[in-house]
Amino acid sequence: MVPVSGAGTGTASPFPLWPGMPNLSNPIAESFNPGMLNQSSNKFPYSSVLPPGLPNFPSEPGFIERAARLSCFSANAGFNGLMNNSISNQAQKGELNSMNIGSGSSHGNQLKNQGSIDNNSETNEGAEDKISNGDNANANGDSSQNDSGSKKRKRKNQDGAMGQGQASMKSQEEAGKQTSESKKEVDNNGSKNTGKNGKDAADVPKGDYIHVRARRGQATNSHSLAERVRREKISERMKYLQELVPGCSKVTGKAVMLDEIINYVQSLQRQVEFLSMKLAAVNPRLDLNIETLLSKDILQGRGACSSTVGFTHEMFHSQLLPSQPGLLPPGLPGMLNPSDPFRRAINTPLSAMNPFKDPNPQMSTTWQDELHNVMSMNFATNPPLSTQEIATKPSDGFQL
Amino acid sequence: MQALHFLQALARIARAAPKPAHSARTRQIRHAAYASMAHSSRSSRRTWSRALLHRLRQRQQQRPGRLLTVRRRVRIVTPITSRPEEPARAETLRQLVPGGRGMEYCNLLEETADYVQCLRAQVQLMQTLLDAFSS
Repeated sequence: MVPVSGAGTGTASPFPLWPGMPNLSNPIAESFNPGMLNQSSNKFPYSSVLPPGLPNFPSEPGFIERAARLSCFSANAGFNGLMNNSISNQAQKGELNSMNIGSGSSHGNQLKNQGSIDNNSETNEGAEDKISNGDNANANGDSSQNDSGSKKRKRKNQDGAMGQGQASMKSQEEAGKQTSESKKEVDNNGSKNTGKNGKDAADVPKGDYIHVRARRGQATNSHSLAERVRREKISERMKYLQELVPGCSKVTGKAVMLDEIINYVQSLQRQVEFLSMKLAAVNPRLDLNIETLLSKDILQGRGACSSTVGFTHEMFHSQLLPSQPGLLPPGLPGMLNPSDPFRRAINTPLSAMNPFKDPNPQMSTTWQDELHNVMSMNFATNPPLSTQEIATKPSDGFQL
Repeated sequence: MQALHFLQALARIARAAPKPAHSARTRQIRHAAYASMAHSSRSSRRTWSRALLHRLRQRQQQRPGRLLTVRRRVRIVTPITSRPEEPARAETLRQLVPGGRGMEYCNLLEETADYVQCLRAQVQLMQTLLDAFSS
Protein backbone atom coordinates (compact mmCIF):
# COMPACT_ATOMS: atom_id res chain seq x y z
CA MET A 1 0.00 0.00 0.00
CA VAL A 2 2.56 2.45 -0.96
CA PRO A 3 0.80 5.63 -1.69
CA VAL A 4 1.56 7.29 -4.87
CA SER A 5 3.47 10.33 -4.04
CA GLY A 6 2.43 13.69 -5.15
CA ALA A 7 -0.82 13.93 -6.89
CA GLY A 8 -1.29 10.27 -7.20
CA THR A 9 -3.39 9.84 -4.11
CA GLY A 10 -6.95 10.85 -4.09
CA THR A 11 -8.63 12.73 -6.71
CA ALA A 12 -8.80 16.03 -5.09
CA SER A 13 -5.69 17.30 -3.62
CA PRO A 14 -6.22 19.82 -0.86
CA PHE A 15 -2.99 21.40 -1.58
CA PRO A 16 -3.30 23.62 -4.50
CA LEU A 17 -0.07 24.44 -5.97
CA TRP A 18 0.54 28.05 -6.07
CA PRO A 19 -0.99 29.05 -9.28
CA GLY A 20 0.04 32.58 -8.97
CA MET A 21 3.67 31.92 -8.73
CA PRO A 22 5.56 32.59 -11.82
CA ASN A 23 7.02 29.64 -13.41
CA LEU A 24 10.59 30.12 -13.05
CA SER A 25 12.03 26.91 -13.76
CA ASN A 26 12.93 25.71 -17.02
CA PRO A 27 14.56 22.54 -16.07
CA ILE A 28 14.98 21.42 -19.54
CA ALA A 29 16.66 24.61 -20.36
CA GLU A 30 19.18 24.03 -17.74
CA SER A 31 19.58 20.48 -18.37
CA PHE A 32 20.33 21.18 -21.88
CA ASN A 33 22.42 24.15 -21.30
CA PRO A 34 25.67 22.49 -20.75
CA GLY A 35 25.06 20.22 -23.56
CA MET A 36 24.03 22.91 -25.83
CA LEU A 37 27.00 25.00 -25.40
CA ASN A 38 28.48 25.82 -28.66
CA GLN A 39 26.31 23.45 -30.37
CA SER A 40 24.05 24.59 -32.97
CA SER A 41 22.70 21.22 -33.67
CA ASN A 42 19.54 20.77 -31.94
CA LYS A 43 19.16 17.78 -29.87
CA PHE A 44 15.52 17.95 -29.52
CA PRO A 45 13.42 15.71 -31.53
CA TYR A 46 10.95 18.26 -32.42
CA SER A 47 13.47 20.79 -33.22
CA SER A 48 14.10 19.14 -36.46
CA VAL A 49 10.67 20.11 -37.40
CA LEU A 50 11.55 23.68 -37.16
CA PRO A 51 13.14 25.19 -40.11
CA PRO A 52 16.56 26.51 -39.51
CA GLY A 53 15.60 29.99 -40.35
CA LEU A 54 13.07 31.93 -38.56
CA PRO A 55 9.74 30.61 -39.45
CA ASN A 56 6.72 32.66 -39.71
CA PHE A 57 5.23 33.11 -36.38
CA PRO A 58 1.69 32.43 -35.58
CA SER A 59 -0.13 35.61 -35.35
CA GLU A 60 -1.33 35.28 -31.88
CA PRO A 61 -1.72 38.48 -30.11
CA GLY A 62 0.12 37.25 -27.16
CA PHE A 63 3.13 36.56 -29.21
CA ILE A 64 3.14 39.96 -30.57
CA GLU A 65 2.98 41.40 -27.18
CA ARG A 66 5.68 39.28 -25.92
CA ALA A 67 7.84 39.94 -28.84
CA ALA A 68 7.44 43.59 -28.26
CA ARG A 69 8.41 43.19 -24.71
CA LEU A 70 11.28 41.01 -25.52
CA SER A 71 12.65 43.30 -28.02
CA CYS A 72 12.83 46.08 -25.60
CA PHE A 73 15.39 44.28 -23.57
CA SER A 74 18.87 44.48 -24.73
CA ALA A 75 21.37 41.85 -24.04
CA ASN A 76 22.96 43.76 -21.30
CA ALA A 77 19.87 45.23 -19.97
CA GLY A 78 20.45 45.08 -16.32
CA PHE A 79 18.31 42.99 -14.21
CA ASN A 80 16.42 46.07 -13.49
CA GLY A 81 15.03 45.80 -16.86
CA LEU A 82 13.65 42.54 -15.84
CA MET A 83 11.80 44.07 -13.03
CA ASN A 84 9.45 45.67 -15.39
CA ASN A 85 8.59 42.36 -16.68
CA SER A 86 7.60 41.14 -13.33
CA ILE A 87 4.54 43.23 -13.51
CA SER A 88 3.54 41.83 -16.77
CA ASN A 89 4.66 38.40 -15.87
CA GLN A 90 1.30 37.27 -14.95
CA ALA A 91 -0.17 38.55 -18.10
CA GLN A 92 2.42 36.95 -20.16
CA LYS A 93 2.13 33.81 -18.29
CA GLY A 94 -1.50 33.81 -19.00
CA GLU A 95 -0.82 34.34 -22.58
CA LEU A 96 1.69 31.71 -22.70
CA ASN A 97 -0.54 29.37 -20.94
CA SER A 98 -3.27 29.85 -23.37
CA MET A 99 -0.93 29.58 -26.17
CA ASN A 100 0.92 26.62 -25.01
CA ILE A 101 -2.20 24.82 -24.40
CA GLY A 102 -2.89 25.07 -28.00
CA SER A 103 -0.98 22.24 -29.37
CA GLY A 104 1.85 23.11 -31.50
CA SER A 105 1.82 26.64 -30.48
CA SER A 106 4.70 25.93 -28.29
CA HIS A 107 6.94 25.75 -31.19
CA GLY A 108 5.60 28.93 -32.42
CA ASN A 109 6.35 30.53 -29.15
CA GLN A 110 9.83 29.53 -29.27
CA LEU A 111 10.29 30.59 -32.75
CA LYS A 112 8.69 33.82 -32.11
CA ASN A 113 10.91 34.52 -29.26
CA GLN A 114 13.84 33.60 -31.25
CA GLY A 115 12.80 35.80 -34.01
CA SER A 116 12.27 38.70 -31.80
CA ILE A 117 15.37 38.13 -29.92
CA ASP A 118 17.28 37.14 -32.89
CA ASN A 119 20.58 36.67 -31.50
CA ASN A 120 22.51 33.63 -31.53
CA SER A 121 22.89 31.51 -34.45
CA GLU A 122 22.16 28.73 -32.19
CA THR A 123 18.95 30.12 -31.17
CA ASN A 124 17.23 28.39 -33.88
CA GLU A 125 15.58 25.51 -32.37
CA GLY A 126 18.00 24.14 -30.06
CA ALA A 127 18.26 27.37 -28.35
CA GLU A 128 15.35 26.75 -26.20
CA ASP A 129 17.50 26.64 -23.27
CA LYS A 130 19.59 29.39 -24.43
CA ILE A 131 18.12 32.60 -23.80
CA SER A 132 19.29 34.43 -26.70
CA ASN A 133 21.65 37.02 -25.60
CA GLY A 134 20.27 37.44 -22.29
CA ASP A 135 17.17 38.97 -23.43
CA ASN A 136 15.30 38.70 -20.38
CA ALA A 137 11.99 38.13 -21.68
CA ASN A 138 9.66 37.62 -19.08
CA ALA A 139 9.00 34.39 -19.61
CA ASN A 140 6.95 33.31 -17.17
CA GLY A 141 6.00 31.51 -20.01
CA ASP A 142 6.61 28.52 -18.25
CA SER A 143 3.05 28.15 -18.65
CA SER A 144 3.76 25.03 -20.47
CA GLN A 145 5.43 23.92 -17.40
CA ASN A 146 2.33 24.36 -15.51
CA ASP A 147 1.39 20.83 -15.03
CA SER A 148 4.64 19.33 -14.19
CA GLY A 149 6.57 22.44 -13.63
CA SER A 150 4.09 23.92 -11.35
CA LYS A 151 4.53 20.98 -9.19
CA LYS A 152 8.14 21.62 -8.95
CA ARG A 153 8.52 25.15 -8.47
CA LYS A 154 12.06 25.26 -9.24
CA ARG A 155 13.30 28.64 -8.82
CA LYS A 156 16.64 27.74 -9.85
CA ASN A 157 16.74 24.90 -12.09
CA GLN A 158 19.87 23.11 -11.87
CA ASP A 159 21.54 22.14 -14.97
CA GLY A 160 21.34 18.54 -15.16
CA ALA A 161 18.95 15.86 -14.77
CA MET A 162 16.05 17.77 -13.44
CA GLY A 163 14.26 18.25 -16.59
CA GLN A 164 15.11 14.98 -18.08
CA GLY A 165 12.63 13.09 -16.17
CA GLN A 166 9.85 15.23 -17.33
CA ALA A 167 8.54 14.61 -20.72
CA SER A 168 6.47 17.66 -20.71
CA MET A 169 9.48 19.75 -20.23
CA LYS A 170 10.36 19.37 -23.81
CA SER A 171 7.43 21.32 -24.83
CA GLN A 172 8.52 23.94 -22.49
CA GLU A 173 11.82 24.35 -23.98
CA GLU A 174 10.70 27.12 -26.03
CA ALA A 175 9.62 28.74 -22.90
CA GLY A 176 13.00 27.97 -21.60
CA LYS A 177 14.43 31.05 -22.99
CA GLN A 178 11.86 33.05 -21.36
CA THR A 179 11.94 31.06 -18.26
CA SER A 180 15.56 31.40 -17.84
CA GLU A 181 15.15 35.05 -18.07
CA SER A 182 12.25 35.00 -15.79
CA LYS A 183 14.25 32.98 -13.47
CA LYS A 184 16.78 35.61 -13.33
CA GLU A 185 14.07 37.96 -12.78
CA VAL A 186 12.58 35.99 -10.06
CA ASP A 187 15.87 35.66 -8.50
CA ASN A 188 16.23 39.28 -8.68
CA ASN A 189 12.97 39.68 -7.06
CA GLY A 190 14.80 38.06 -4.30
CA SER A 191 12.36 35.42 -3.61
CA LYS A 192 14.66 33.15 -1.88
CA ASN A 193 18.13 33.42 -3.02
CA THR A 194 19.55 36.79 -2.81
CA GLY A 195 22.93 35.31 -3.02
CA LYS A 196 22.16 33.90 -6.33
CA ASN A 197 21.86 37.18 -7.97
CA GLY A 198 25.52 37.36 -8.32
CA LYS A 199 25.44 34.14 -10.06
CA ASP A 200 22.74 35.20 -12.35
CA ALA A 201 24.60 38.25 -13.23
CA ALA A 202 27.45 36.09 -14.08
CA ASP A 203 25.31 34.20 -16.42
CA VAL A 204 24.55 37.03 -18.65
CA PRO A 205 28.02 37.83 -19.67
CA LYS A 206 28.49 34.22 -20.49
CA GLY A 207 26.88 34.90 -23.69
CA ASP A 208 24.14 33.22 -25.37
CA TYR A 209 23.24 30.60 -22.90
CA ILE A 210 21.86 31.42 -19.64
CA HIS A 211 22.30 28.96 -16.94
CA VAL A 212 20.05 30.81 -14.76
CA ARG A 213 19.38 28.07 -12.47
CA ALA A 214 22.80 27.15 -11.58
CA ARG A 215 23.05 27.64 -7.95
CA ARG A 216 26.07 28.38 -6.08
CA GLY A 217 27.32 25.90 -3.61
CA GLN A 218 25.04 23.09 -4.52
CA ALA A 219 26.48 19.76 -4.92
CA THR A 220 24.07 17.96 -7.14
CA ASN A 221 21.58 19.84 -9.10
CA SER A 222 18.88 17.32 -9.29
CA HIS A 223 19.01 16.55 -5.65
CA SER A 224 18.82 20.07 -4.46
CA LEU A 225 16.05 20.84 -6.81
CA ALA A 226 14.07 17.89 -5.70
CA GLU A 227 14.75 18.86 -2.17
CA ARG A 228 13.43 22.27 -2.70
CA VAL A 229 10.31 20.98 -4.26
CA ARG A 230 9.88 18.62 -1.41
CA ARG A 231 10.36 21.32 1.11
CA GLU A 232 7.77 23.42 -0.55
CA LYS A 233 5.32 20.59 -0.53
CA ILE A 234 5.95 19.97 3.08
CA SER A 235 5.47 23.57 4.01
CA GLU A 236 2.24 23.62 2.05
CA ARG A 237 0.93 20.74 3.98
CA MET A 238 2.03 22.14 7.25
CA LYS A 239 0.09 25.29 6.48
CA TYR A 240 -2.98 23.28 5.72
CA LEU A 241 -2.62 21.36 8.91
CA GLN A 242 -2.18 24.57 10.75
CA GLU A 243 -5.58 25.63 9.58
CA LEU A 244 -7.10 22.36 10.55
CA VAL A 245 -5.78 22.18 14.04
CA PRO A 246 -7.50 24.76 16.15
CA GLY A 247 -5.33 27.23 17.91
CA CYS A 248 -2.35 26.72 15.76
CA SER A 249 -2.41 29.90 13.85
CA LYS A 250 -0.19 31.66 16.30
CA VAL A 251 2.27 28.90 16.52
CA THR A 252 5.16 29.13 14.19
CA GLY A 253 7.88 26.74 13.52
CA LYS A 254 7.74 23.23 12.34
CA ALA A 255 8.68 21.56 15.56
CA VAL A 256 6.07 23.25 17.67
CA MET A 257 3.46 22.76 15.00
CA LEU A 258 4.23 19.12 14.86
CA ASP A 259 3.82 18.84 18.59
CA GLU A 260 0.51 20.55 18.40
CA ILE A 261 -0.66 18.28 15.66
CA ILE A 262 0.35 15.23 17.58
CA ASN A 263 -1.41 16.47 20.68
CA TYR A 264 -4.50 17.17 18.71
CA VAL A 265 -4.59 13.77 17.09
CA GLN A 266 -4.04 12.12 20.44
CA SER A 267 -6.77 14.13 22.04
CA LEU A 268 -9.17 13.27 19.24
CA GLN A 269 -8.42 9.61 19.61
CA ARG A 270 -8.91 9.80 23.32
CA GLN A 271 -12.19 11.54 22.74
CA VAL A 272 -13.31 8.74 20.48
CA GLU A 273 -12.51 6.25 23.18
CA PHE A 274 -14.28 8.23 25.83
CA LEU A 275 -17.35 8.78 23.71
CA SER A 276 -17.54 5.15 22.76
CA MET A 277 -17.43 4.30 26.43
CA LYS A 278 -20.28 6.62 27.11
CA LEU A 279 -22.20 5.35 24.17
CA ALA A 280 -21.77 1.86 25.43
CA ALA A 281 -23.35 2.95 28.66
CA VAL A 282 -26.18 4.67 26.94
CA ASN A 283 -26.66 2.09 24.29
CA PRO A 284 -29.45 0.02 25.73
CA ARG A 285 -31.45 3.13 25.83
CA LEU A 286 -31.03 3.67 22.16
CA ASP A 287 -33.99 4.20 20.08
CA LEU A 288 -33.29 1.36 17.81
CA ASN A 289 -36.38 2.17 16.03
CA ILE A 290 -35.19 5.50 14.93
CA GLU A 291 -31.88 4.19 13.92
CA THR A 292 -33.20 1.45 11.83
CA LEU A 293 -35.81 3.63 10.35
CA LEU A 294 -33.20 6.10 9.45
CA SER A 295 -31.07 3.57 7.79
CA LYS A 296 -33.97 1.97 6.11
CA ASP A 297 -35.38 5.15 4.76
CA ILE A 298 -32.15 6.55 3.67
CA LEU A 299 -31.11 3.39 2.04
CA GLN A 300 -34.40 3.01 0.39
CA GLY A 301 -34.13 6.48 -0.87
CA ARG A 302 -30.99 5.41 -2.58
CA GLY A 303 -32.20 2.11 -3.79
CA ALA A 304 -31.12 0.18 -0.79
CA CYS A 305 -30.66 -3.47 -0.98
CA SER A 306 -33.33 -5.68 0.34
CA SER A 307 -31.12 -7.08 3.01
CA THR A 308 -31.09 -3.80 4.78
CA VAL A 309 -34.81 -3.59 4.63
CA GLY A 310 -35.05 -7.00 6.11
CA PHE A 311 -32.74 -5.90 8.81
CA THR A 312 -34.94 -3.02 9.70
CA HIS A 313 -38.04 -5.12 9.78
CA GLU A 314 -36.30 -7.38 12.13
CA MET A 315 -35.55 -4.42 14.25
CA PHE A 316 -39.18 -3.57 14.30
CA HIS A 317 -40.11 -6.96 15.56
CA SER A 318 -37.48 -6.96 18.15
CA GLN A 319 -38.67 -3.60 19.23
CA LEU A 320 -42.19 -4.73 19.66
CA LEU A 321 -41.42 -7.76 21.66
CA PRO A 322 -38.68 -6.91 24.00
CA SER A 323 -38.88 -6.09 27.60
CA GLN A 324 -36.91 -2.97 27.21
CA PRO A 325 -38.99 0.08 27.07
CA GLY A 326 -38.92 1.68 23.74
CA LEU A 327 -37.36 4.96 23.63
CA LEU A 328 -39.91 6.89 21.74
CA PRO A 329 -40.49 9.89 23.82
CA PRO A 330 -43.84 9.97 25.37
CA GLY A 331 -46.26 11.50 23.03
CA LEU A 332 -45.85 11.76 19.35
CA PRO A 333 -44.76 15.34 19.29
CA GLY A 334 -41.86 14.31 21.35
CA MET A 335 -40.70 12.30 18.42
CA LEU A 336 -39.48 15.34 16.75
CA ASN A 337 -36.85 16.01 19.29
CA PRO A 338 -34.49 13.25 18.38
CA SER A 339 -34.86 14.06 14.76
CA ASP A 340 -33.07 17.33 15.07
CA PRO A 341 -30.03 16.00 16.78
CA PHE A 342 -29.97 13.14 14.37
CA ARG A 343 -30.18 15.49 11.52
CA ARG A 344 -27.46 17.51 13.01
CA ALA A 345 -25.43 14.48 13.76
CA ILE A 346 -25.68 13.38 10.24
CA ASN A 347 -25.20 16.73 8.73
CA THR A 348 -22.26 17.86 10.74
CA PRO A 349 -20.04 15.13 9.45
CA LEU A 350 -21.33 15.89 6.03
CA SER A 351 -20.59 19.52 6.36
CA ALA A 352 -17.24 18.71 7.79
CA MET A 353 -16.54 16.81 4.69
CA ASN A 354 -17.53 19.60 2.45
CA PRO A 355 -14.68 21.96 2.90
CA PHE A 356 -12.29 19.31 2.06
CA LYS A 357 -13.96 18.13 -1.02
CA ASP A 358 -17.46 18.74 -1.93
CA PRO A 359 -18.85 15.30 -2.14
CA ASN A 360 -22.59 15.49 -1.84
CA PRO A 361 -24.07 18.86 -1.44
CA GLN A 362 -27.40 17.35 -2.09
CA MET A 363 -26.76 14.60 0.37
CA SER A 364 -27.59 16.69 3.35
CA THR A 365 -30.92 17.66 1.91
CA THR A 366 -31.64 14.05 1.18
CA TRP A 367 -30.95 13.24 4.76
CA GLN A 368 -33.31 15.89 5.91
CA ASP A 369 -36.02 14.76 3.60
CA GLU A 370 -35.63 11.26 4.75
CA LEU A 371 -35.65 12.28 8.32
CA HIS A 372 -38.96 13.90 7.72
CA ASN A 373 -40.18 10.76 6.10
CA VAL A 374 -38.96 8.77 8.97
CA MET A 375 -40.71 10.92 11.42
CA SER A 376 -43.95 10.72 9.58
CA MET A 377 -43.57 7.02 9.32
CA ASN A 378 -42.95 6.77 12.95
CA PHE A 379 -46.06 8.62 13.69
CA ALA A 380 -47.99 6.30 11.52
CA THR A 381 -46.63 3.06 12.82
CA ASN A 382 -45.92 3.65 16.39
CA PRO A 383 -49.08 4.68 18.05
CA PRO A 384 -49.47 1.24 19.54
CA LEU A 385 -46.02 1.53 20.95
CA SER A 386 -46.41 4.90 22.41
CA THR A 387 -48.90 3.90 24.99
CA GLN A 388 -46.82 0.94 25.91
CA GLU A 389 -43.82 3.10 26.25
CA ILE A 390 -45.52 5.63 28.31
CA ALA A 391 -46.69 2.94 30.57
CA THR A 392 -43.43 1.17 30.80
CA LYS A 393 -41.21 4.10 30.89
CA PRO A 394 -40.21 4.32 34.42
CA SER A 395 -36.90 5.51 35.51
CA ASP A 396 -35.08 2.46 34.40
CA GLY A 397 -33.65 3.89 31.33
CA PHE A 398 -30.11 2.94 31.95
CA GLN A 399 -30.13 -0.69 32.48
CA LEU A 400 -27.20 -2.34 31.06
CA MET B 1 -21.72 7.92 4.56
CA GLN B 2 -19.72 7.93 7.67
CA ALA B 3 -22.70 8.64 9.85
CA LEU B 4 -24.84 6.07 8.18
CA HIS B 5 -22.28 3.38 8.62
CA PHE B 6 -21.81 4.27 12.23
CA LEU B 7 -25.50 4.28 12.97
CA GLN B 8 -25.93 0.93 11.42
CA ALA B 9 -23.07 -0.47 13.38
CA LEU B 10 -24.46 1.01 16.56
CA ALA B 11 -27.81 -0.51 15.91
CA ARG B 12 -26.18 -3.81 15.29
CA ILE B 13 -24.29 -3.59 18.52
CA ALA B 14 -27.28 -2.56 20.52
CA ARG B 15 -29.21 -5.40 19.08
CA ALA B 16 -26.75 -8.00 20.21
CA ALA B 17 -28.86 -10.39 22.22
CA PRO B 18 -26.48 -11.36 24.94
CA LYS B 19 -25.62 -8.21 26.66
CA PRO B 20 -21.88 -8.10 26.56
CA ALA B 21 -19.87 -6.51 29.25
CA HIS B 22 -19.39 -2.83 29.28
CA SER B 23 -15.82 -3.09 28.18
CA ALA B 24 -16.75 -5.34 25.33
CA ARG B 25 -19.38 -2.94 24.16
CA THR B 26 -16.94 -0.13 24.40
CA ARG B 27 -14.54 -2.01 22.26
CA GLN B 28 -17.22 -2.81 19.75
CA ILE B 29 -18.37 0.74 19.52
CA ARG B 30 -14.86 1.98 19.12
CA HIS B 31 -14.33 -0.55 16.42
CA ALA B 32 -17.47 0.63 14.71
CA ALA B 33 -16.36 4.22 14.97
CA TYR B 34 -13.05 3.59 13.30
CA ALA B 35 -14.61 1.37 10.70
CA SER B 36 -17.12 3.99 9.75
CA MET B 37 -14.34 6.53 9.52
CA ALA B 38 -12.45 4.33 7.17
CA HIS B 39 -15.52 3.72 5.09
CA SER B 40 -16.39 7.30 4.57
CA SER B 41 -16.54 8.26 0.96
CA ARG B 42 -13.99 10.96 1.33
CA SER B 43 -11.33 8.81 2.77
CA SER B 44 -11.87 5.43 1.22
CA ARG B 45 -8.98 5.98 -1.08
CA ARG B 46 -6.56 7.06 1.52
CA THR B 47 -3.69 5.07 2.80
CA TRP B 48 -4.66 5.50 6.38
CA SER B 49 -8.14 4.18 5.82
CA ARG B 50 -6.84 1.04 4.20
CA ALA B 51 -4.32 0.54 6.95
CA LEU B 52 -6.95 1.16 9.55
CA LEU B 53 -9.34 -1.35 8.09
CA HIS B 54 -6.57 -3.84 7.85
CA ARG B 55 -5.68 -3.33 11.44
CA LEU B 56 -9.28 -3.65 12.54
CA ARG B 57 -9.78 -6.88 10.68
CA GLN B 58 -6.58 -8.19 12.04
CA ARG B 59 -7.71 -7.50 15.55
CA GLN B 60 -11.06 -9.01 14.95
CA GLN B 61 -9.59 -12.21 13.73
CA GLN B 62 -7.22 -12.44 16.56
CA ARG B 63 -9.56 -11.84 19.36
CA PRO B 64 -11.97 -14.72 19.32
CA GLY B 65 -10.72 -17.80 21.03
CA ARG B 66 -7.36 -16.59 22.09
CA LEU B 67 -6.35 -15.87 25.56
CA LEU B 68 -3.14 -14.27 24.64
CA THR B 69 -3.58 -12.36 21.48
CA VAL B 70 -0.62 -11.49 19.47
CA ARG B 71 -0.86 -7.79 19.51
CA ARG B 72 1.59 -7.07 16.86
CA ARG B 73 3.09 -9.06 14.17
CA VAL B 74 6.58 -8.52 13.02
CA ARG B 75 6.79 -5.28 11.26
CA ILE B 76 9.31 -3.26 9.52
CA VAL B 77 11.05 -1.46 12.24
CA THR B 78 11.17 2.24 12.57
CA PRO B 79 14.65 3.08 11.41
CA ILE B 80 13.81 2.19 7.90
CA THR B 81 11.23 4.86 7.65
CA SER B 82 12.93 7.56 9.61
CA ARG B 83 14.69 10.00 7.47
CA PRO B 84 17.41 12.37 8.41
CA GLU B 85 15.68 15.62 7.68
CA GLU B 86 12.46 14.89 9.44
CA PRO B 87 11.69 16.56 12.69
CA ALA B 88 12.04 14.59 15.84
CA ARG B 89 8.37 14.01 16.42
CA ALA B 90 7.70 12.60 13.04
CA GLU B 91 8.00 9.12 14.38
CA THR B 92 5.33 9.77 16.95
CA LEU B 93 3.04 11.00 14.24
CA ARG B 94 3.70 7.91 12.26
CA GLN B 95 2.61 5.80 15.15
CA LEU B 96 -0.53 7.79 15.59
CA VAL B 97 -1.75 7.84 12.05
CA PRO B 98 -2.63 4.37 10.82
CA GLY B 99 -0.37 3.26 8.08
CA GLY B 100 2.08 5.97 8.78
CA ARG B 101 5.08 3.78 8.95
CA GLY B 102 5.54 3.28 5.30
CA MET B 103 4.92 6.79 4.16
CA GLU B 104 7.22 9.55 3.34
CA TYR B 105 7.05 12.58 5.48
CA CYS B 106 5.35 14.62 2.83
CA ASN B 107 2.59 12.11 2.34
CA LEU B 108 2.37 11.60 6.04
CA LEU B 109 1.35 15.18 6.51
CA GLU B 110 -1.32 14.90 3.90
CA GLU B 111 -2.70 11.74 5.40
CA THR B 112 -2.65 13.34 8.80
CA ALA B 113 -4.79 16.17 7.56
CA ASP B 114 -7.37 13.82 6.17
CA TYR B 115 -7.25 11.67 9.24
CA VAL B 116 -7.77 14.65 11.48
CA GLN B 117 -10.78 15.70 9.49
CA CYS B 118 -12.34 12.29 9.71
CA LEU B 119 -11.59 12.02 13.38
CA ARG B 120 -13.18 15.35 14.03
CA ALA B 121 -16.28 14.41 12.12
CA GLN B 122 -16.52 11.15 13.98
CA VAL B 123 -16.16 12.83 17.33
CA GLN B 124 -18.85 15.34 16.46
CA LEU B 125 -21.12 12.57 15.32
CA MET B 126 -20.66 10.57 18.45
CA GLN B 127 -21.13 13.58 20.63
CA THR B 128 -24.36 14.47 18.93
CA LEU B 129 -25.62 10.95 19.19
CA LEU B 130 -24.80 10.91 22.83
CA ASP B 131 -26.69 14.09 23.37
CA ALA B 132 -29.63 12.78 21.44
CA PHE B 133 -29.76 9.55 23.30
CA SER B 134 -29.37 10.98 26.70
CA SER B 135 -31.85 13.77 26.32
